[in-house]
Amino acid sequence: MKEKRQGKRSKTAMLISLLLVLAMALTACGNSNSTTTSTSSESAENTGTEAKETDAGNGEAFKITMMQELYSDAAPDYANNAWFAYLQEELNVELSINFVPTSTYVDKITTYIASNTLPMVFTARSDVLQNNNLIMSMESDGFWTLDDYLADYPNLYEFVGAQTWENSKINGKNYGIPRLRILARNGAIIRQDWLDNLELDMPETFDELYEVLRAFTEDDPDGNGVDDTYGLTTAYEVAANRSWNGIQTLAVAFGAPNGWVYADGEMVPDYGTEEYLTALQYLRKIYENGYMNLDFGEITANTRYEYFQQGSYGMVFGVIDDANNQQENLVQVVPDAQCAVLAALHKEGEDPLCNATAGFNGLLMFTKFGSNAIETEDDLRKILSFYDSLCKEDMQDFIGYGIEGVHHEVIDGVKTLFYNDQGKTVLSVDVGDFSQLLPIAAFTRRPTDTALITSVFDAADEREAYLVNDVSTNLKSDTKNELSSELDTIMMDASVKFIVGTIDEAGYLNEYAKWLAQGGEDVIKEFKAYYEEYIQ
Amino acid sequence: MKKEKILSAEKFISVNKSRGREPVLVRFRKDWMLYVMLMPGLVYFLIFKYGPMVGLITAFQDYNSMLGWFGSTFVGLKHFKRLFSDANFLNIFRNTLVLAFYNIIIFFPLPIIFALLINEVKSIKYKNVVQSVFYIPHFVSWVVVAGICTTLFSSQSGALTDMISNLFGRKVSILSEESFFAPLITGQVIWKETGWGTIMFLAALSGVDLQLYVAAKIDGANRRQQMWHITLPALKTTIITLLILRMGTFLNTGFEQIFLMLNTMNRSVGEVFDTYVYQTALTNGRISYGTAVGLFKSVVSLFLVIGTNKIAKKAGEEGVY
Amino acid sequence: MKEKSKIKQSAGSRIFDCFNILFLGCAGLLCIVPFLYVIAASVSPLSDILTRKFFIIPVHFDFTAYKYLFSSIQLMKSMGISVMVTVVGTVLSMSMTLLTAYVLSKPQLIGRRVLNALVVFTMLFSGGMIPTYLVVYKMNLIDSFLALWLPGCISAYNMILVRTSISALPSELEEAATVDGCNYFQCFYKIVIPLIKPTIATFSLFYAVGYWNSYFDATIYLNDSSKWPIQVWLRQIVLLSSGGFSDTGSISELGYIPPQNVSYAVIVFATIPILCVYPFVQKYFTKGMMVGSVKG
Repeated sequence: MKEKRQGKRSKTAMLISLLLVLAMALTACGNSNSTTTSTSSESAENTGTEAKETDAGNGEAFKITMMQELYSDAAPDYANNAWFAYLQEELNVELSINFVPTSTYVDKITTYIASNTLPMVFTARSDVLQNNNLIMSMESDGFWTLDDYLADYPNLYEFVGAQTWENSKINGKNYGIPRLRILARNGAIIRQDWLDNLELDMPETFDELYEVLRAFTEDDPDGNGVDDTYGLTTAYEVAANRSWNGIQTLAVAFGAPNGWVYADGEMVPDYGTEEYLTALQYLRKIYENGYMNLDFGEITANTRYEYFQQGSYGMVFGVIDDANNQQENLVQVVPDAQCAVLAALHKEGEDPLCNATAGFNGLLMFTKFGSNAIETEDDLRKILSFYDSLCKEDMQDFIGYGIEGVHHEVIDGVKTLFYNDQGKTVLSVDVGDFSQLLPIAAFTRRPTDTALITSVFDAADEREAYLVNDVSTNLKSDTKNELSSELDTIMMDASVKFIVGTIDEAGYLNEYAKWLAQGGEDVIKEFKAYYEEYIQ
Repeated sequence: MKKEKILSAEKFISVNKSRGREPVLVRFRKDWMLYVMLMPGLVYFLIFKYGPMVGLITAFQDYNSMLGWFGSTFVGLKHFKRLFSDANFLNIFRNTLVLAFYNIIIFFPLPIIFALLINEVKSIKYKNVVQSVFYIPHFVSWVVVAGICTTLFSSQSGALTDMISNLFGRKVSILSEESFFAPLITGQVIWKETGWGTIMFLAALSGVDLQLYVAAKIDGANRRQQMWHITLPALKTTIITLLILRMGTFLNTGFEQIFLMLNTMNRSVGEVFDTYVYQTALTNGRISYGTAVGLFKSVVSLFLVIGTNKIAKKAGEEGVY
Repeated sequence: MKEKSKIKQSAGSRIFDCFNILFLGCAGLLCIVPFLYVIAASVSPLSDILTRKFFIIPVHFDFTAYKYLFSSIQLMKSMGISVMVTVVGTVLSMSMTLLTAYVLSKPQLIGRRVLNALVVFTMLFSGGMIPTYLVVYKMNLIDSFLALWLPGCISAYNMILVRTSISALPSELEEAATVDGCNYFQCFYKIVIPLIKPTIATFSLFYAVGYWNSYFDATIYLNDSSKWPIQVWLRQIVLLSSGGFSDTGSISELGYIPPQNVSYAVIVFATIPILCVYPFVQKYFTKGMMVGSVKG
């Protein structure tokens, strides 16, 4: 018995030691891989000096370390694919990219800053740009400013456009290349098939919209004889994405400022304006009559899209480029469904007013500190010329269509992309989220666009004429940095409570007074001072 | 033979007892192997637990992560002052306490009770099946749990909303009404963690000598008396240790779960320390403030642990230290 | 050894058993029903999910979600990584925990009370993410699997509980062994470990689940995405298919978005392996496991 036990024990011991050896082996493999593919501080320092020595332009590829958020479920195998090979060869660079899942991206940036190992180029979306660590690093001169260099790179400058360069300034300087987005993104998606069934025109004024929502709820637009349809679905969601729930879209259409406006020597936030309250009252009426989902104060943004895709709602607020995705999911439930972009709302006889986004979503920033920094001005210029070349037409074409025969083929003069077994384009698998690090136009029309996508782009084009800009996009306020989430929550909660009916107008104005007292007043003052000093 | 062994054992005990009176160095030499065995763990704690604790200093600085601890300015108690003077501080404290009490009073006993019940089942097959099923909710993420609650209780289309409204005689909105928040959160925790929590107790129960039950039965004890006098005492140490350790996380409520259930309507009772820190500190990277709030929580927990440990020791139990 | 009791059971006892079985059965149903829904949803077409056509038994079958998951080589590779990380991590953590718990349970240890207090202290106070990252960075462990195993190697919580169960062992056992000539390590290895099998099983399970579910550490410490365990990818898929990224950019950039039922398949996929492990652990929780080890 004793021997058997000992035998069993030595077997276990052997198993454990075997596993440990295996672990060591794998770790060793892992380590040797890491020195070649990831950005360890040593290799970056070495290539840094190498780049300096080969400065005379003798053809040595310049190594650029980069960092990018991962949105898809796979990182491109950039060491081994044709697209990257062509790119690196054509522009004489060697790329080394860290992909980080978007949910932990900000944390990773924080750790990189703390260990002073931030890669040369990285994407900084709004949540990164509002991150205190990044702001402090900016103020400690941790990043390159591009203002002095842009004149030398005309392709890059014009690709982005003077207005967007201006919009994307922080503290009066350009800290990075803005990633372009459609300006007129905020809007709503509506069920065209329901409009057709009820023989209604696309609503354009507020009264027409109200009537449409009523009809959607009461007049059985899907014709199934059951009272199971509603007009509008939306969700209050977090304050950071005010444009999603439609309150701001409506308010601007009513004439409120888009967040902030500078008028008559005063800095005015939209919360306290007449027009904003009008929008809230409008929604309140819709809520009271049951033309909208009653749990709008409880659900998340994703859920409101789910409701819409279930087919029981006629309209949903959101960004208009979501229309295609909604359509694709909706037809799986309701095969005849047809989505359309809601017309830009306007008051009777007046032009529409559309709340614009900033025109960009984040910056590509250039690191100046730490072991992976862009060390000299010459290195920075090399990278800028890399980006400049990417803005030229031939490279833009390459970004959009890849290599002929590998990523696309030309059929009847039209470039058509190849798809793989999973339903993805070969190009998107090869490039992956690296595309977010490239200069890409806000939208690119392709011959293969569906009618819906075309209508989205058309709307984006038309609405540029009616855009209302948020003046606070590049204003600085210390109080806002400190307290923005708390302040936003007060007013967001107040708006929701008013719509749902928990508080009345007096209650709402009470909350607004609270907002002013707890910091809103200070933000107004600071914005005003900053605007008058730097912008005017 | 046996007698010799007993005698030697006594000598061993007395040797050990007298060890306490021996000089430290002698003990060190005699027990050297013990200290060698301690080395790995000690090194681990020093490097990976105490090393990072240096970072607590950021609670007293305006931490600039690019410049590090030595490059950041020292600001003393500024962040703590901000915390205590925040208009919502008392509210947050109260909310956290409410959830903590609900958790300890309602949730804490349940895994014990369920472990006892499972222990009483005679059929081993049924017991195994029940155990395996019970711990499945532990693996369901909070996101799914929140989704299930929305499906069940949403005021728009919740599957159980009508039924519950009839029970209360008025239209209830479980996801928004303030009075339902604590029960809702506790209910979620109960569903998700009770089964998993029984594991520890079942493991402890497996060490109970079956002969004790037979002897008790012969003595005429019924099921209830058997449970009270044999089964429960076997769990006593585990329960007390777990309770003391639970004090160490007293002000922790679990960020993800609460965050998913928070909305405009229930924010006044739902905002707890963890969500507060997330909103004010983590989302925009205010490390100093986040560390300060965490430090405050830790100090409160420290006092609670010291207190409960003392009580346990006074009652004759082995504490956690 | 089954003991057939010759003493008759009282009626109350039998009623209790009845109710107990019923009660536990209902509780069990409550636990499993949502998960059955998840399984059913993972094999249903998207339209059925949105319109809630089914409850537990799927109405239509649609395996596109699983096809999508299995068609990705990366997913399979990362599954292997997860298994490796979990197994090695659990063995390492358990060994260190047992060793340390044994030492800290010995009354003759100098400074025992202080050391235990210091351990408890680490449960309450923590430097946070950045200082821990800096320690790992300074030790050159970034991008190595050791960064997944070392920082969280011993859980103070687990160690305290293991220590408690070691303390519960009667001291006569070790004393007898010492008399026989065993040193501390031999006592630990030959006497203590075999006696606390249920404890070892329990905490091995806890550690294993912890390692299996981890994704944050992997993304922070491992720069090379080919080393990420499966939880990282599964989370991405769930976020992607539930529309969490619609704020990001123009249509062309997102490429293919997996349908929503993929989220459910992911949950099943991520959970099943651990569910399979439990039955092996369960045999250690049978009553009277430790009977017979200590006599008199």
